[in-house]
Amino acid sequence: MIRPVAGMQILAGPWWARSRSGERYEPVGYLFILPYLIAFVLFMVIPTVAGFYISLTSWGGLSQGRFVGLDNYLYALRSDQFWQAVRNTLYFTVALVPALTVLGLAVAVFVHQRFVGFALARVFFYSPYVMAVTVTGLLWMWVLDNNAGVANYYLGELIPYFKTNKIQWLASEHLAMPSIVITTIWWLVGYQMVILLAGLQDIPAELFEAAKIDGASSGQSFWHITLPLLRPSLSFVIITNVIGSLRVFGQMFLMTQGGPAGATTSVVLYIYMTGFQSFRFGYSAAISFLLLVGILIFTLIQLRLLRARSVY
Amino acid sequence: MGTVIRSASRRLTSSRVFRIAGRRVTVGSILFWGVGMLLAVFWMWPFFWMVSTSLKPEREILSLIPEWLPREHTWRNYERVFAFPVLRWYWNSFVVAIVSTLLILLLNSLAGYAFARINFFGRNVLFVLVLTTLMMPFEALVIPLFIMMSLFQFGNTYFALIAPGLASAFGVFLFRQFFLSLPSDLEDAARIDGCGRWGIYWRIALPLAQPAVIALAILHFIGNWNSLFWPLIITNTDAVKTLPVGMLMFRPGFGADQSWAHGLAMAAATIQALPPLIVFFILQRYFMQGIATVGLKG
Repeated sequence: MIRPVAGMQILAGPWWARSRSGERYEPVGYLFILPYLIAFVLFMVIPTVAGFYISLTSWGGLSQGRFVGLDNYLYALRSDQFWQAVRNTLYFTVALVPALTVLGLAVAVFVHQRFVGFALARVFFYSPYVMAVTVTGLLWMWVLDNNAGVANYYLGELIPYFKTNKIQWLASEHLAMPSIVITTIWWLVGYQMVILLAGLQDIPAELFEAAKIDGASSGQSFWHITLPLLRPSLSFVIITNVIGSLRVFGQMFLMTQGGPAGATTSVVLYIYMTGFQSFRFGYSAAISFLLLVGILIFTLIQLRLLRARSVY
Repeated sequence: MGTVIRSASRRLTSSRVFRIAGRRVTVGSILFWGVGMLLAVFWMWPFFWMVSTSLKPEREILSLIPEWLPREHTWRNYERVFAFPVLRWYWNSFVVAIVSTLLILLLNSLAGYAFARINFFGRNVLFVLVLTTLMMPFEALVIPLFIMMSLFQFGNTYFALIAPGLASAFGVFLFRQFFLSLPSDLEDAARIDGCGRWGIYWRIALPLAQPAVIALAILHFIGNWNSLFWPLIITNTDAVKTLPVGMLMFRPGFGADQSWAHGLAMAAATIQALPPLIVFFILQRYFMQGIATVGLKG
C-alpha cells in the first residue's frame, strides 16, 4: 500500500490517479458512489431540469403544448387562487409553528423530569407521530364532527350555549384552518419533544446545581441556562417545522379537500389540484418552482436570524 | 396583585415539602406532575376513542350522548372494511417500505463512505452538488417525475413507488458525518490485515455506523409506510395501491353522510394504526434515539 509521502508530487499519472498536490486518488470511489449517483441523476437532476422546462410550456394532460416562456409564472402571480393558497399556507405556518414549539418545549421539560410514569408519558406524547396522516385525519374528522363528535358534545356540556349552536369545525370557512392546526399539533408534538429532550439531556447538570447554589429560582435557571443552551435544538425544530408547514398537504387533502370555499387550500394541494385534477402540468410545475424558491428564501432568512444572536 | 400570586406560589412550591419513598417532593412538583400526566393521557385518548367507536353499532355511534365504551360491541365495521382489498394494500405498503428502506441504506452508506473516506477526482464538487439538493422539496418534482414514469410505462408499479425516494440526499449526508468521525487508525489496521476498500466498508465502517443505520432505517421505513402524496399520484389500481391511499376510500363524505361512515372510518383507521403502534411500543427506545440522532446530526 503506497501512502502519500512528502516529495512524491513529482510522480506523474493520469488525472484520475493523482491529485495536483500529489495525493493518491482511489478510483474505486466511483464504484461506491455510482449506485446512488444513478438514482440521483435519474430522479433528482433530470426531474429538476425537466420540471423547469415543463414550467415554461403549456403542457397539458394530452398534449405537450408549446413553449410559452414565463407565462405560467405571470399567470400564477396574477391568479387569486394562487395567492389564496399562499395566504392559507402562511396562515397555517404562523399558527402552527409557535404553538407546536412552545408546547413541544413544555412537554420536553415535563418528560425530562424523573418521576413516576415518565417513560409512559413519553410514549403517549410520541405515539401520534408514528401514525400516517390518513389515520390522524380520519380520527380528527370524527372527533370534530359537527353533530355526533365528542368535541362538540363536551363543549356543550361545559358551556350550554354550544349545545344548541354546534361549532362547525371543519365546515366553516373561519374554523377549518384552526381545526387542521389543532389536529397537526396533536400529531407532531412528539417529534418536537424527542428533539428538545435530546437537547435538554445534553445540558450538564452541574450548571443547574451551580445556579441553585447561587440562589437562582427554577424559573431563572430555565431562562438563563436552559433556553440559551437549547438554542441549537430549538433552531433545528423551528426550521424543520417551517419547511414542513410550507409543504403541508395531507391534512387538507383528507379533511377538507381544500374547502370550504378554498379556505384550506395549501400551496402543495394547489399543485396537486392544478396538476392532477385539471392536468395543467405546465402551470402546476411553475407553482412547484415558486414553492421551491419560497422555501429557499424562508430557510435562508431563518438561518440568518437564528444564527445571528449566538450566545457564546 | 402580582406579588400576592408570587408569594402564594412560592409558598406552594417551596414551603410544603413531603417525603415520598425517601425523596423530597413539593406540592408544586406534584401539581406539575398531575397536569403533565393528565395531558399525556389526553394525548392518548383519541386512540382509545378510535378503537371504541370502531366497535360500536351505528345507533351508538350517532347517539347524542357519547359513551366511552360500546354497550354492545360489533365487528360489523371491520367486516365492511375488509370487503375492500385492505390486505393487498397492506402487502403493497410493506413490500415498498422494506425494499425502499434496504436500498436507501445500501446506496446512501456506500456513497456516504466514499464521500467521507475515499479520495477521488471530483469528489468535493459532486458532494456539494448532492448537498444543494438537500433543500429540494419533493413536491417540486412530482410533475416531471409523473410525466417521466408515465412516458416509460412505469405508472402503477412498485418501481415507480420506490425509485424516486432513492435520490434523497439526506442519508448520504448523515452517513458521511458518521464516517468522517471514524479514526483512520482503524482503516490502517484493517488494511494491514489485508482488507480492501470493500472489506473496510463492509466489516469495519458499516458495523460502526450502526446508530445511523438504525436511525435512518426507522425514519425511512415509517416515512415510507405513511407516505401519501407520491403514492396517491402514481397509483390508481388496487394491485399496487399502498395503505394510506387505500384508506382514502373510508373518508366520510360531506353532506349526505351514511349513518355508518364514521364507524367504518374508525375501523379502517384502527387497522392502519395498530401495526405501527405495536412496533413502536416494542421498539420505542430506538425510535426516540433514532429521531434524536438524525435530528442533531442533520
